[in-house]
Amino acid sequence: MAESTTSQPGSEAQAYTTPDVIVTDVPKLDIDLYIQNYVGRTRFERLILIGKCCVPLRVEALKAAVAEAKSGLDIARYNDACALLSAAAPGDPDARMDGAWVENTDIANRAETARLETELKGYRNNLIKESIRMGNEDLGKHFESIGKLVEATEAYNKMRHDVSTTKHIFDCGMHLASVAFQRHDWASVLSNVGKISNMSGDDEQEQQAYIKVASGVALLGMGNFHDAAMTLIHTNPNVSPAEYSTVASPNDVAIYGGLLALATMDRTALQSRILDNQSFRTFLEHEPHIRKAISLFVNGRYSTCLSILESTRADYLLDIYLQPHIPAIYSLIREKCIVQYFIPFSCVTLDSLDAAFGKPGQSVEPELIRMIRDGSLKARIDARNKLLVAVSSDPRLVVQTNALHVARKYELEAKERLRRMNIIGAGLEVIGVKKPQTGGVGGAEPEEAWFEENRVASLLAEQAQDA
Amino acid sequence: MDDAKLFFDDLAPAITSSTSKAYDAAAKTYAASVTTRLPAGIRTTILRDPIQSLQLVDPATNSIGYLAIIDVLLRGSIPPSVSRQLLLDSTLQFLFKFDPIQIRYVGSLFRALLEDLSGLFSPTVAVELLANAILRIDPSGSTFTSTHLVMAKLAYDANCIEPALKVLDADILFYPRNTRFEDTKRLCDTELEPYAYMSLAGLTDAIKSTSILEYHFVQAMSYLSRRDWRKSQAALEKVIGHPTKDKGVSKIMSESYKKWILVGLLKDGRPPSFPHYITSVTKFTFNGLSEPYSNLASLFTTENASALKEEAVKGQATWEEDKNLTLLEEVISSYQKWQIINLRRIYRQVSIAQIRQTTLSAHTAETLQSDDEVLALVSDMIESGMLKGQLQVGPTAEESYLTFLEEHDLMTEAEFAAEVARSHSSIEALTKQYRATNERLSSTKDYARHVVREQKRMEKDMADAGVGFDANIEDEDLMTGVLGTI
Repeated sequence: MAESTTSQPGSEAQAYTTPDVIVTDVPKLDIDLYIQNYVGRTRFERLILIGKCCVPLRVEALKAAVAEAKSGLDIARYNDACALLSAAAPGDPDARMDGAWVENTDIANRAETARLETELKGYRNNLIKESIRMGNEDLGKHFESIGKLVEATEAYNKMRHDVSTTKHIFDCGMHLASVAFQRHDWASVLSNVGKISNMSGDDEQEQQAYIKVASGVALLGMGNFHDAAMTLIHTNPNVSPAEYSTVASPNDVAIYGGLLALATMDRTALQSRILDNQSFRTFLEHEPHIRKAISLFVNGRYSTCLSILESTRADYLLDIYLQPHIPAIYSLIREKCIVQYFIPFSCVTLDSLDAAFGKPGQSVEPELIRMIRDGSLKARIDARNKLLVAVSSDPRLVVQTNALHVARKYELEAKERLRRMNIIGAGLEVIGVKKPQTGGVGGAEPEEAWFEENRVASLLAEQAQDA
Repeated sequence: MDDAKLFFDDLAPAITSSTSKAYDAAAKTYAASVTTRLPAGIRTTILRDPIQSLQLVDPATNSIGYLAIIDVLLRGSIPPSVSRQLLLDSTLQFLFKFDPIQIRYVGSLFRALLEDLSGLFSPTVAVELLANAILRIDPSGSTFTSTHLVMAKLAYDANCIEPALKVLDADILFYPRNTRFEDTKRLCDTELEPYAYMSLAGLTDAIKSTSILEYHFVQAMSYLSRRDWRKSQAALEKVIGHPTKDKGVSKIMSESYKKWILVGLLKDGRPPSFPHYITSVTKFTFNGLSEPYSNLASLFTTENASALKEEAVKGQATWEEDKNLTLLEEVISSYQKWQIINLRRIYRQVSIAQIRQTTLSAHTAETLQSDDEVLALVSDMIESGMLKGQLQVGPTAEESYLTFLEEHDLMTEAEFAAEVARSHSSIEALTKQYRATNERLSSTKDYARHVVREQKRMEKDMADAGVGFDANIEDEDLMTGVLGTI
């Protein structure tokens, strides 16, 4: 059973086989403090990620991961964690696989699966809706805990047939979203969360908080930064973090929301939507770095803002959801800084840009070139005088060029239409061949006259010499 | 000879007659008598003494007679004592002086003369004469005739495009119609539109859609050989956008499409976009037929020179088969030029050394070997007008700079006003033609049929305002509701 679990597509064991990010700097985080913010299976995933990517914290994280796995029922996870730990610290006693535990758990898992399935069958025979729903839910939970995510999704989906209250629907959606999170299937997280987003229940606030956080993280996963930021900053800060601790902690909400807002909003929006936003302020208090970076950006002190972000890069790279997007988010912020820096000037020396944004011994020029090419920076480089010059167009020239362009286009178009009218009026269209089976590709059949007029073929031949 | 003089002078009184009716009748009779019904005696008189007979009438005032005499002389055998050059000179004279109205009465004879010109004169002279004659008959040059095609082919074959340009540059807007015009109008009416009388007068052969396609194709090829990408593209666009029916796409169209892509790359540095009037069926056919071309075109705008080179080599057989090899090589050479031009979006001033480092040649997929080559390339581009810029040559490549100038020059208010006025008047003229076309199309059979059909439909709708159960319900199937009647 364990083997079949690892081979499941999208299971977390596969998702982490290749760590492409290696963090060697010592991050500021403390594993124990960090991990206690979360509950559920995300704990293990986060630990494994740190263990795989962070050199200084590797052993500590992996040991915690082994312990975490062992406290659960998922054998595949335990195997993974042990294998990683034995590669990182071969002599560690925890790295040795506990064969007895694996065997016992496996037997227990099978027994539990069989029991739940029989129970469910019984409920089905009795046709009691509520029992069937609960049976499916239990089975789903069990599958989820032993790492069989596909089966879990299936079981949770079956719950939907027998729902009777809004709470049930909400539970069902939440379960499905949670499994989809583990499979990194962002689209299905969004669709499941979307289904429950408009429901009003007894504890609506709590539900809404979960929905905001979950869909924000899913949008981040899909690379839709602006929407993710807009969703996350509307999270209700008065809801206990436990409501969404299976996904993220309040610190994460602050980091994700803050960073993404920084990457996608302009200065006024940052001021009004982030810094003046009372509810998001509560989150930002958990992460003073982000708050400082945002206010520095709003105040135009771009290089300090960037250096703060740079100092925390290692921490953010160890976040399970943020990691793949950090380079993109950082470069977006950097580009925005450069663009904002340049706005008040009509020309800036490249040296001063280097001083503000360049890394030691590295010019910003290639980056500027890329930005101009993308169209994110409206400027030209004067390589001779080492200047970045703002594009200033002569409005008169623009008007003239546009006016003449429109006039010519209109004239040409009018002529062409008249010509076509006359062609059709005179019945001189090219007429398709009625029998397509005689034609070649796509019905392109040479007209008879083409064969008669061999001249064009000879003209084509001569063109090679002429041109 | 006096008989002949008398015979040919017969037209003189008719020409002076003021009413067009009299003129028309006289010209018709006269044309018939000097051409098809020319007495054999007079024919022999002319052939016996060509010099005198050519002086019988004035080509400007009696073009019908003069043409008849030339025709007899050109086709008959003249005495060896008379030099053929004299005859050719007279033909030349005639073609410069002929009266475009009289010619309408001997159209087919005149057309035959034009079609034979290439055998009588050197190609350059023949093209010049043809172009002149076309514009003398129809000064706007906007009506297509079979002579257009004859001229274009001759000009392109003999590579003497210069004299043909005045005709090639004119926009073709009209095509000759075969229908008779109203009785009130006569062939000699000066205000008669060329498309109305051209085929009736025999001044053009029957036009087929392929003639039009071929004309524009040859036109495009002629512009190509002059490296005039813009006009060439416009001509090709006329071919590929030719109206079609029943999903028809002719071979000329698909060949032109391939060229059109390449020319578009040369002209704009990016793949051209379809004019909106091309139907999706035609587009689909084109795309299916020219995959190597569209692949190449999509690589042209990227910085991936090696892939472009690879694609060009891979498609070698296709280019050769389509006879587009030379054009393709031109495209490949222009790749680096366009890269340099695109640098204008990034730089205001850029050093030659930087140009060398940032742009690749598609021939080798590498940067150019030396800075001097880059310098030569850039100055070449500036000279040819492809690049608007200024070159400041310094002692080294790092100190030589290219300054990009504005793409469009600022016009003075007066120039601008003049240009706008020109556009305005041209559009106004077009509006008139639109009205005329509209009027003409309103009287066609198809339109009449459409109107009648509409009327019938209206009548039915009125009669059966939703409750007329007696009609229009098929097969008792009331559930499907009342079926629309067409």
